[in-house]
Amino acid sequence: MKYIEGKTGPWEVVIGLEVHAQIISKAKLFSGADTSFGAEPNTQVSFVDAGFPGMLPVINTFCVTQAIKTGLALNAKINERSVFARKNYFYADLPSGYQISQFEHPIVGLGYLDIELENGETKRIGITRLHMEQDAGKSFHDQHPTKSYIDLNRAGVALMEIVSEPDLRSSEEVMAYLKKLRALLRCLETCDGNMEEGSMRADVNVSLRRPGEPFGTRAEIKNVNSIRFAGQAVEYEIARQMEILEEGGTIVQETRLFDSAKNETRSMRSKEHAQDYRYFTDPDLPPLILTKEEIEAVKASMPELPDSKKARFMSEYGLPSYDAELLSGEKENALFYESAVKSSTSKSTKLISNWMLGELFAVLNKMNLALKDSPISAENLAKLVDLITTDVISGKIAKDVLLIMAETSDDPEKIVEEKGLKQVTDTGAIEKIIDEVLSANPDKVTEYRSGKDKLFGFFIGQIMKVMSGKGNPGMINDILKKKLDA
Amino acid sequence: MSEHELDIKKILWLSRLKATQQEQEAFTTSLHQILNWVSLMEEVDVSSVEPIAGLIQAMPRREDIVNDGNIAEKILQNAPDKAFGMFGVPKVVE
Amino acid sequence: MTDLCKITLAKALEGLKAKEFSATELTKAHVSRMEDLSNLNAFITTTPELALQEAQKSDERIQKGEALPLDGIVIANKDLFCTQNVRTTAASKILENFIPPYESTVTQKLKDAGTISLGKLNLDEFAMGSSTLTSHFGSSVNPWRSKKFPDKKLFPGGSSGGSSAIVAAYGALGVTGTDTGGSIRQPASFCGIVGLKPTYGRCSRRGIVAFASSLDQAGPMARTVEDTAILLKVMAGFDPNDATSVNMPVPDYASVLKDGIKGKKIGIPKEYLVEGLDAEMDDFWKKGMKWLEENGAEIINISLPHTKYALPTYYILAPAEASSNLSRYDGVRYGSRVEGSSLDELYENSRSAGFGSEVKRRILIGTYVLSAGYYDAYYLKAQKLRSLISQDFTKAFEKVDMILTPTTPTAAFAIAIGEEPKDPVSMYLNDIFTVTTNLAGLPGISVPCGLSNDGLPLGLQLIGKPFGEEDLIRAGYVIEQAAGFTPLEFKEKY
Repeated sequence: MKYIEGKTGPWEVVIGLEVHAQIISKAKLFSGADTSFGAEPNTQVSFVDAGFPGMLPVINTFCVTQAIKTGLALNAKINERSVFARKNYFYADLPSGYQISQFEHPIVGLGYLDIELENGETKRIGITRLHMEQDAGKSFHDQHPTKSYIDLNRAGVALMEIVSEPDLRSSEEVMAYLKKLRALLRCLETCDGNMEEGSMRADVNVSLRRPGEPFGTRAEIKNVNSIRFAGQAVEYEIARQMEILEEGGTIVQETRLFDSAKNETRSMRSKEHAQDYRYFTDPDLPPLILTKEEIEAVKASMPELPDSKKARFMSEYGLPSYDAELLSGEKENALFYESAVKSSTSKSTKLISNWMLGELFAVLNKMNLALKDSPISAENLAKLVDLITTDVISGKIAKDVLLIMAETSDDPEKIVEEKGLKQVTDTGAIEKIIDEVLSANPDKVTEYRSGKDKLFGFFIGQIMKVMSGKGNPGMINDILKKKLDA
Repeated sequence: MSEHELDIKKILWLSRLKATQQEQEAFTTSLHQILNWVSLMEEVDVSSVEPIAGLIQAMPRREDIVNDGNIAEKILQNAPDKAFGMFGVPKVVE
Repeated sequence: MTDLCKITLAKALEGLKAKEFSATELTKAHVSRMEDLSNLNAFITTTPELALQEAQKSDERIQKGEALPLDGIVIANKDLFCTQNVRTTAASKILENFIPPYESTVTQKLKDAGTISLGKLNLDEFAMGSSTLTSHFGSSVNPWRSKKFPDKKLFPGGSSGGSSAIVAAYGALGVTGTDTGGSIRQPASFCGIVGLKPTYGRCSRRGIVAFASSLDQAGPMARTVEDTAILLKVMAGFDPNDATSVNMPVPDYASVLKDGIKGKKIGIPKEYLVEGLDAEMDDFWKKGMKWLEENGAEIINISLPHTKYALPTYYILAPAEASSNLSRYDGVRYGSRVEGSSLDELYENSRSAGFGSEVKRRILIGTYVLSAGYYDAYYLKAQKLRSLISQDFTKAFEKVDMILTPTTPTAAFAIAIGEEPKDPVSMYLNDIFTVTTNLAGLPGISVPCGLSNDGLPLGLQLIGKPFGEEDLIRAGYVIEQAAGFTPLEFKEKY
């Protein structure tokens, strides 16, 4: 456990997260209206979503499956009976005057998520619950000086709220948790995890306490929409609360917003009146009953999760933990890597990992491309690595070939062939060039032989220059050494 | 519970209803009458009873099919204030 | 032509089939009758042109031999059912201009069966009341008059009071009502007609303006048990758009009408012998037992021990649900709006101007019983009592097939319009025999059994097992025949 040293003694940071994740589904949670982004206002709205009189909700069974799937991936208890409740409050983007959510009886109970920290340690973060609820509509404020306008396209889209235990202790842990959770949701295809578009957002509860003391008063930072911002908001909040506490002040339990431009959190204008949500069972919806068979069927359809994929990558491909973590964390990475390994003849699993995580990612980064848009296919990367392992080209030449591949998407064998980049592995030819270089530099040879070992590199350079880099480095090394030491 | 605490202003606010002082008094009086009357319930011990919200059956579900929406005109046709294909309200300050 | 208004729905169906008269003739007769009965204030909105257009279509189908099951039958709908392109108000100012762009499932089923609607019937605002007193459009008038005070106008009961008044006065062959705590059975009893509240989930609630979702149920009202049965068959059925509707086949209710009740066990709950029960009502209750016994049923005394808590339970749960259901009326997407300088002011202004005082009172009580600190003492406690009340019935139905009770403690409110009490509780007491079935989700029927000494109709209620509507129709028919009830005298005007 890490403590933060203040002026007056050590402080422990306590953080819990509530993540709202939009469930991937074609239709909304309780209606048949479309969920896709970017449509004209109010075109993806049914009478149910707009809260018209007498219109009733009927649950989308796929959203239920998605919640079960996510719950299972969080190692959580799936509740065979869960109940929808109404959360009552008035707001412009809430057409019925209540949000259908789950309160006392959520679909998913206690679970956990293991996160990896920078020091290589794994930490288990408790999951309190996961429940389903409706998203709200959107207000627009720019059309008119004294009016706002309401679009209900988002109203009724399914969300999962994933609540963690107050087990997080630093901004690093918060970011690791969010990254891990996002990768998990993406792997499951239950949420696209696009925080910028708002399909995943976090409420961050931060408090400080003296080690061993009960929990302090917390502040809730609402709707944080990037992992980096979550880290920054936590840092700011720790500093703010510590300053107040060390000066003998008290923390006000309140909702705050993170202003990413100013890199600070600020109190949301405190409401004149207290909220009272008056939760009660939604009489329009009987309890949601899941059978053991239904849960088992979802279990059977689960994809391999990042944690077990990582373990498999380490045992099956002999990868170190670092490589396995990077390759298994994102679904696309794992897919690319495994198809490269599959098509490779040399099965140089570690070398493929090196080339993918190193050279390929650097090139993509420079081109500002995601892996899924890579001009270099997994098969071609595997071929390139095979060319190295079979001594057809050197690693140095391979880097040049990779750059050409990035531009042309060509097969590396074709590039090597056309550009005549094949290594020279003919001993006679190499010896001939070495002899030429040595006889052109008699004084350097003398110096080397009298003990100036460093000149070995000079000879290699000269030889490579003459051979335009195509000489097999191992062979050149051996022959040169033999000749100089002779 | 015979003396029911009744913060009529809070209840009115939560209900988004307003009332004159006189109306508030009248509501308070009749709410007290009702609360006194329902306090008859107190004599039953329900500590071991499960609450029910209605007649219970397993919940029917819908398939994940888009079969509704694209009726913006109908959604908006009764709106007292609409523009830009949306519902107008007094400016909401966030 | 007025003769066509006197006949029953079943007779009208026969007449249309035999082409004794056309749907247009039948409709015209009712349209003109509707005008004659205008002082009953039974309608909020009338649609005579639409009715005549539909009648023409019915006639075309009948001519072609493609008649629908109820083709040409003239009905009207409680103004709580949303009707596409026809104003639907719930008798509230807040919805006075609301034109639904959709049709409720029940009224759609009735349309699909070929019925013709005359318009939308008056009720208590949002169905909250038992008199139509709380309607924004004024009270409806009971066509019955007391002998003692023939000049005093009486309430038709409620909330489906426009429905009961128009059927009793021969203004429609049958109508729809809704029943949350007795809103079909009580006005039926007050107007001397038959009203049936089906099992919760039997009829779809989709498109019915919600009052208390866990209690609301649509049902038919008509002048005979048979007519009620015919309408119920069309109204009932599973709706995939209502998660609380039940997926069970719909029987042909009218076909069991005359099956009798031989060997049926009828329970008499001792707890219904309450203070305030009229002596004459009590006499009719005993007569009812005798009638059933004479027809081969066995009368068994039973106990429903938690009966006395039913009203308080109801008057907590129904307002709690209503307070939430009515939050959507905010002046933004539909309904009347009173501007304000902020969003909250818009809400407060629109809702304060749009709701009447009884509706406001129920919203406030509902908000209160759900609010922090009071939820356990009121809402949760009431939910638990609801369990106990429901269990009482479950136990009773182990011994009996049906339960016989009075529908109301007294005949048509001895209260004249304009003389209603100020204390809300005394009005609530009227629901004492009807709310229990809503709390337990059970079916109930009110059948007229006779007239009080004052010449006002009284009704007996039969309560059935879940989905026991057929039993109710069989036993209801027995009572109807045995009682030999004299219906309202047919007059040009009332």
